[in-house]
Amino acid sequence: MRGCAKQRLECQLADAVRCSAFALGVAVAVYGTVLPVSAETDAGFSVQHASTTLQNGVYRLDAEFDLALADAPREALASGVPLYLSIDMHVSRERNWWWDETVAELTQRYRLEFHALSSRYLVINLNTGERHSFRSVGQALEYVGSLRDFPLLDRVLVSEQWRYTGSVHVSLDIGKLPLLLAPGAYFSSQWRLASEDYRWLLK
Amino acid sequence: MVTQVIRRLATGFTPMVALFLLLLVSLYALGNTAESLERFGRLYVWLLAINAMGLVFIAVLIGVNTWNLISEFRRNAAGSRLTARLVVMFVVLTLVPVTIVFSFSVKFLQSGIDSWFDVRVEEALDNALELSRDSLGAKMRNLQRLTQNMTERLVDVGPDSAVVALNDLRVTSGASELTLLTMSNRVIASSSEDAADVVPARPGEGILAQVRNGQPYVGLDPIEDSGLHMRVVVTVLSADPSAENRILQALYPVADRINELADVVQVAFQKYRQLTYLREPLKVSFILTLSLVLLLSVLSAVWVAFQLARRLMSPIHELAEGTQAVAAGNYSTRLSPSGRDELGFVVRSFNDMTGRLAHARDAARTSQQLVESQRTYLEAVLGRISNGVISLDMRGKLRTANQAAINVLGVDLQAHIGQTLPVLSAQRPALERFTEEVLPHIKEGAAEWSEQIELFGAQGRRILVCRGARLPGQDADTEGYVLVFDDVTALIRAQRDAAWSEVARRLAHEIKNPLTPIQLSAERLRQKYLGSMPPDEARLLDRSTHTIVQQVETMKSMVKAFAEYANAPEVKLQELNVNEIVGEVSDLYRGMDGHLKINLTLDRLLPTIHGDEARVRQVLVNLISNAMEAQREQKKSVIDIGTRHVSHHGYDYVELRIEDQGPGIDAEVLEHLYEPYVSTKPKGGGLGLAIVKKIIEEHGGMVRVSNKAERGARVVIQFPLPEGVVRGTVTGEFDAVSKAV
Repeated sequence: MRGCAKQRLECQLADAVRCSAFALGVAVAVYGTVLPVSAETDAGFSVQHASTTLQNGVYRLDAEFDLALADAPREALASGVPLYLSIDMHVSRERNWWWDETVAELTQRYRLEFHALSSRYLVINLNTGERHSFRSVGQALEYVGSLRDFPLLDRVLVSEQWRYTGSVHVSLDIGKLPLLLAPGAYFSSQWRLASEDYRWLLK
Repeated sequence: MVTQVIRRLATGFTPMVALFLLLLVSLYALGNTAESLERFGRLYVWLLAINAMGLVFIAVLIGVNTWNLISEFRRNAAGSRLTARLVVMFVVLTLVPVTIVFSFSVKFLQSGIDSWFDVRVEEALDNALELSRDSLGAKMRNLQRLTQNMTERLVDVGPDSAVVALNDLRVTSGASELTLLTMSNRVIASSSEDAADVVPARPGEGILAQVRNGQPYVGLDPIEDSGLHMRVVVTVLSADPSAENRILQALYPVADRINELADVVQVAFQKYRQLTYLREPLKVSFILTLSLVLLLSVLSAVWVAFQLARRLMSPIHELAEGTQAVAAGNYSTRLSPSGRDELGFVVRSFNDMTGRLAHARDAARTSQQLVESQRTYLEAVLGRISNGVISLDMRGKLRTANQAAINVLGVDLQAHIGQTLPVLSAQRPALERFTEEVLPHIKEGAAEWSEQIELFGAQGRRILVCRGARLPGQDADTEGYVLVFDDVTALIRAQRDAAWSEVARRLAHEIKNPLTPIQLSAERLRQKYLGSMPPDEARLLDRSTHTIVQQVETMKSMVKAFAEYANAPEVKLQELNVNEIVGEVSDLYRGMDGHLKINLTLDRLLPTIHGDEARVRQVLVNLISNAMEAQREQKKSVIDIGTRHVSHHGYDYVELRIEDQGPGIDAEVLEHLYEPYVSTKPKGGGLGLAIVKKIIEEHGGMVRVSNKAERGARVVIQFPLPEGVVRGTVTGEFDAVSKAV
């Protein structure tokens, strides 16, 4: 009798585990496929161009990003929620039979906020503390999306016998959003703003 | 592996309770996130995910349980209805209050959160902001005019004089920084209040674009590290149309107090706007947490319902299965004890009951075995005793009969079990006398009786001593009669034989002595007077004395025969082949009588017996003589002699048969056949068969005389085999050599 009951319970468990796995799979599938489709605006982050030039023994990065916010983050920004953007830069040495070696890694962080009194949008470079104010979000994003002569890497760190690749990508940091917004943001394509990795060969 | 861990976690009561507690704690944490954002910080999303997964797992577990319950319910499995009822009861008991609390909570939550945001507060903040802007706006317009006036001094000045002019203007106007720029945003000259600040703050592209269009810019700019500034950017028109216009930017500091107040208003406004914006997410978060709590409560209640139902039903389930097992005859079923409640009492009672049942069954089995063994014992005893035992039921129907009864009565009673005695005797006339004697006693219903019965059959007249008794019993099936009978023919015959032996001995002794003087006297009379007597008298004397002598001679031989019968010498036993003796004796008779034909049917593998050769020879001579005598009036005499080895009921013997084709023996004679002076022959002493019987008995054998079914008499002699004799033949039929003599 006990054996029978035990067996039945095991069956139930196996079913439960299977069903849970199935449900999880379905959830992941929905999250991965259905939600991005629902994003209808042309909002999104992308890297238009990025390249480095050697100036006075320092590799300097010029990059153009196309940054457009969807309605939800735009509304949040207007409502006083600061947005955090980060530009991740990465230089790696190519290796034939192994993973590439990271030579330099830099992140440029910006805070974008609305100043109600002056009705201006402020961009604060969190690395330098530099502040700039703009009349519109577009101007502010344009400012953030344009990187000029950014010192990326010292020439000394680069050897000529290897190939080096640089990569850059820009994203909206959801983790820095107010706690109540974060869970929704994780599941919303309007908030999940990040560009693809842009790669170029270091010359 | 993972499945095993999950299984162990989910089957145990403690792990599940721990899971519920964990979920409860995480839900508590979730509920507190609004108050203590920093404490739980980034855990929030994880907490949500863990809760959701845990709840999904429990829900799936419950779903599977429910599915099983439904299928059990459809199958009408034992206890499924009660389980279903319990589960439904628990769910309803939980769901109703929890749902009520939930709906009220959601309502309160909605209105509670909404009440934080007062329209008047919002208006007040808006107005405060507006007020700040207005107060700063008036100042800004003045500053714009002031800056516009400054441009007159800066028209077409060189860079060096521009620095001097800017310094002067800055000091007189109270600006914190004045910068003269080209239209392409290149600094021509700058003057700053802070001497260390060598890099002037340049206007942005948007401002420049506005100014290039001929519209001066005035605005409130939060300049880094120095609080709010009023920025005025105006065009410095060149007097020379060919020369490029310039741009003047002036930064005026806002008074510290105003700066501070404006900042407070701005921060409060910002905060309030943010809160208003986050109102919906906050509600969603609270409702989500509340829903999770509700789900956890309901699911845990359902799970507990299943657990409780299972625990409650487990003994009932066992009881049902145990009852079925008992119904199927398995009394060794024992249920595991379950608690001290009423169910435990029922289980204990069930165990007691099965224990007693098993005990009763064992006792019944033991007594049945006892009865069986007694019956077997009784059968064995009845089968071995020489007394015939038959039992009858109350209606006189034959119930049982042992082997001895079959032997004594000469009828295979086993084939007639269930028949009444009259029916039986109608089929078997040999039993007619037996039935006649027994039936009145049975009808009479005598408790005990004894009767001597004479039977006539193929074996001749036999005397049975029959004792009957009524069998006590509880009902008609067990009640009945038992009849025990002995064949006392041999006993009575032996008594007679002994008597005759005594008679013979006495006769020999008493008669033999006077015979010789009688004979001698008669001879002397004859010798003395025969010659001296006249011929007529002499003839008479001669005839008379001759008769006397002859009769005495006859008497002497008779007495001699008696003496032989009475005082036969002791037998000398030795290994003896019966076939050889039969051959020799039959050879003696060969040719003696032309009418005689002796057929021999001898068993070639006949074992030897222990016997006295002379005596056995005498037996054969006597019997062949008898057979010849019996057929003396026929034209042709035929004697069949056969030997064979018989194994019957573990008793081995050599059988010798002598059969004639004479008229047979009268039934009356058959009884007294072995007694001396019983003969059907016209001549002879009548001691022949008596001697044969005596000799055979001396050999430990048995002789039977009977009439054949067709014609003639049959004598069957059985010689016992000594122990350890190799039984070389197949029992039963003759494996024989036939030989006509």
